[in-house]
Amino acid sequence: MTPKPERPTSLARRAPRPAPDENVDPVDYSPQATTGDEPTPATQRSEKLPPTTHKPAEQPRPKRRPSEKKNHNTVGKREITVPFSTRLTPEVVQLIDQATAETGMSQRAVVENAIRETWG
Amino acid sequence: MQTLMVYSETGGVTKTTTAVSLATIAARQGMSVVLVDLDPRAASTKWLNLQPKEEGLHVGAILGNENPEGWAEDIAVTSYWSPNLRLIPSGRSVSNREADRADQSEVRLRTSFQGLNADLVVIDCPNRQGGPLTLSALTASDTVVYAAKLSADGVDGVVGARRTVDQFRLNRERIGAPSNINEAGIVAGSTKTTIMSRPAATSLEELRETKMLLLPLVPERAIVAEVRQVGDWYGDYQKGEPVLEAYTEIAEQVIQ
Repeated sequence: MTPKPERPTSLARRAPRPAPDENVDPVDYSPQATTGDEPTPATQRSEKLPPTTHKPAEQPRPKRRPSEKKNHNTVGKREITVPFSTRLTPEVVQLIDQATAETGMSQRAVVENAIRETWG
Repeated sequence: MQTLMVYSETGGVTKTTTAVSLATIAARQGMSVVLVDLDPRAASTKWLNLQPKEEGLHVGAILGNENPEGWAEDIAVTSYWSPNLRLIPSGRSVSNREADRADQSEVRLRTSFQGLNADLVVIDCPNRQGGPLTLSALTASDTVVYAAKLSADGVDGVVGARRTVDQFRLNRERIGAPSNINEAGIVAGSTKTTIMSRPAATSLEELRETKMLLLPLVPERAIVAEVRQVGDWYGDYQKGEPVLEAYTEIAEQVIQ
């Protein structure tokens, strides 16, 4: 277990940022849609917004082919997820924002991939 | 700092007119005021003709992120109507918050007020029977003002809203949490005061029976709809004087 840091490395307050589902229209919204990586036709059709300095909307990904291995964390068609909440240092938050901006992946995908690569 | 929510479970009963009026009157009197547009319809935002400082930095950012301490101060946009009046805008995507109930999400709006430089916060609530947005307003507020028109729908909206507030208080008691929300009264807006129809007279009597009806009744004037189209304050026009006078008297009763 990594030791706790002695104190915050920065005293800068976390700046506001848009909600993760800012670009999801309420008609298309479902709680699952904000955490999954799968695009829906509706999000692909959603109105394009001018570029911003914040994390861009999730980029569409190819739909999973039937031959691909199914995620075993599923019950029927619904993926099982659990809430995860912790405080992070501002520079880690910045790294996550940078990673999502550069890769187009969701925050969840960035974090899950990093954990799997390091500890999986 | 007083936090006042304007609420009804019916739409189109002058919630936004009341919220914007109370906020602007207080600001023009020298108070530092923040108006929060909590309705995904963003009626207050459109009336004040303001945009978020950056895309997505509206009330949805507060409600959609964990730990938004102090974000109200960062997100609030200064109005053209008064340097003392700022707005936390709303947007269509705020409606997404009605479909999920993240843990402790109802405290995010209140959390965002930490460090807010304001004497008064006025929340323009959506017309909902409870729900996450209403719960956020109830958790953040110490005062509730009900808005009504003199109609059966208007009275229904107040009855439903009071029921929601009562249920909120009961739930707070059950968990031993403080509930200091005070019902300041009912504002009857957009009232035809010259010739009142029988249904309107009946509704007026029903509201009087609650012992919470605030006077004077706010008169109906076309100027209000006109200024909402152009993004102006009706108090800056002669035709708006009767409405301004009524809301000013009401503000003296509900604003501490």
